Amino acid sequence: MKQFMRSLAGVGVFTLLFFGVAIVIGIVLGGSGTLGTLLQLALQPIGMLGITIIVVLALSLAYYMEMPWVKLEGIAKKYEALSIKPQEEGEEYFACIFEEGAGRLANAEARLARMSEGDRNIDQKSLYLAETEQALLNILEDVEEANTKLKELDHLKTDFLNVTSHELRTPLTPLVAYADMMEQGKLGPLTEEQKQALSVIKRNANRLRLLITDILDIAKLEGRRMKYQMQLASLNRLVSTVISEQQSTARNRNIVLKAEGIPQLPKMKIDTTRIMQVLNNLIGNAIKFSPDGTDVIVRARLTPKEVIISVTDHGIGIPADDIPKLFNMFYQSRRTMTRNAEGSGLGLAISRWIVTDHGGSIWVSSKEGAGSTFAFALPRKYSPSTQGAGAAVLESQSLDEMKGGGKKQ
Amino acid sequence: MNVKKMILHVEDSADTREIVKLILEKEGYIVYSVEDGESGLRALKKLKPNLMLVDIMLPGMTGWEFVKAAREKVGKTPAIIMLSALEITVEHRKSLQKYGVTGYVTKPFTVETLLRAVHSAIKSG
Repeated sequence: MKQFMRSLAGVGVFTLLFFGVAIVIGIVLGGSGTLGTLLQLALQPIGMLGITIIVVLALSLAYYMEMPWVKLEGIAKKYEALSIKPQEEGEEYFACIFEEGAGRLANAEARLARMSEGDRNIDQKSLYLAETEQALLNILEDVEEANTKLKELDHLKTDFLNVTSHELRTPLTPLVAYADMMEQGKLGPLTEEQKQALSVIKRNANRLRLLITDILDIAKLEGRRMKYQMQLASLNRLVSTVISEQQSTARNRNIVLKAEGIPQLPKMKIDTTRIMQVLNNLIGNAIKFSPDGTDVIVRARLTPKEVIISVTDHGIGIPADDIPKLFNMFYQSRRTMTRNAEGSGLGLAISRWIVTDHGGSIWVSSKEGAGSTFAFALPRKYSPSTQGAGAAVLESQSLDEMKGGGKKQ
Repeated sequence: MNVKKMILHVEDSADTREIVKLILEKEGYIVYSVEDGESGLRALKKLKPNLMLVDIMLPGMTGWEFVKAAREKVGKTPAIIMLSALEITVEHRKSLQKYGVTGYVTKPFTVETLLRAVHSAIKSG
């Protein structure tokens, strides 16, 4: 309705303007004359109806095109509206601001409350942190203290090993040397009985010497203080050296010790002395437990990953029950107890330690009455992780082997 | 043997000193035994041994310390054989080279082992 009234007003303004323009044109064109003539001149060609239609059309067009004068009216209306609003909306605005402010205040208060709660938390937390830090420092101190004590203990243990070694071997020195001198007749002639007595003294002194060496070896191996000297070495040479070293012992027992089908073995990074100790131990045992006149055969073979060295005897063999315990310390098969077998009972335990410390494994297969084969495998590829750093792994591995015994039969 | 070779033996065990003296004298050597490094250094100033047999574990200065002191104070030392109730370790091997030690004999030793080491050291020295 408001819109319609506005349009009607527009129509009025437009009609007035139209006629005004027409009169101006009439004056300009006609130069002089009366108003009537001018009107007649202007209205004649289209008639009254036509004029009306043109007026309405023009007005509508003007409105739709939002001609400035129509717009002006709208602006006036808007201004009217604006001039009222400040009061109403201002109140609203203030109310809003107030509301918002109140909200913000509440929020801030809440946040403040939370913050102070947080502060308390922070206080507590920093206190807790300080306590924790202190506790950690205390722990660190304890750990350092424990470490120092352990180091001292370690030194003591090393010292103990050294002192034990020294103290046990020192008295053996004159004992062995004097017995040697006497036996060689360098301290005067001897009766047969005296010679016999001296050989018993020497044999037992030697056994004691080996026992001390083996016990100290075990102590070092178990305490992880065995220092390996890993060097690239020829296994072929190692095998032939040990065989030649053991030849006189074999001959004394009328045993044929020989190598059989040993291929060209790769050079490997090993502790030669210790691996020789293992092979010496296996060959020594084979000779010790072999009946006179039998063979002891050393073999070697290559697999893609390992070198396997084995020692086969044709002795009495090992009862199946004994096999799992064979690599334990001080264990000797029931059968061997009946023989006058010398040895510490530590040789196989030491061999197991040495081989596993090289990342390898050791095992036995045996048939009662037919003989035994002791073998050990060394990994062809030396990997540092199997040395030292892998000590714990190796330990569990060898423990497993202890329980499992000769699992690789 | 035209000129008798002299051997200085530094050893704290009296029984070992006795038996080593006995073994070596029977082989024609002159043996001078002392019980510690300090006595060994004093002896070195008076004597010019052809060989020193030195126990590693000595009371007071160790065998290695004795060898070091001997080199520093006396100058050129004779051939040296270390005697030890301990096994030879990596450190020992290093020390052997460092101090120019000729040989190493572990205790207990047989007469044969000792004589072989002494003969070859004297020959090379």
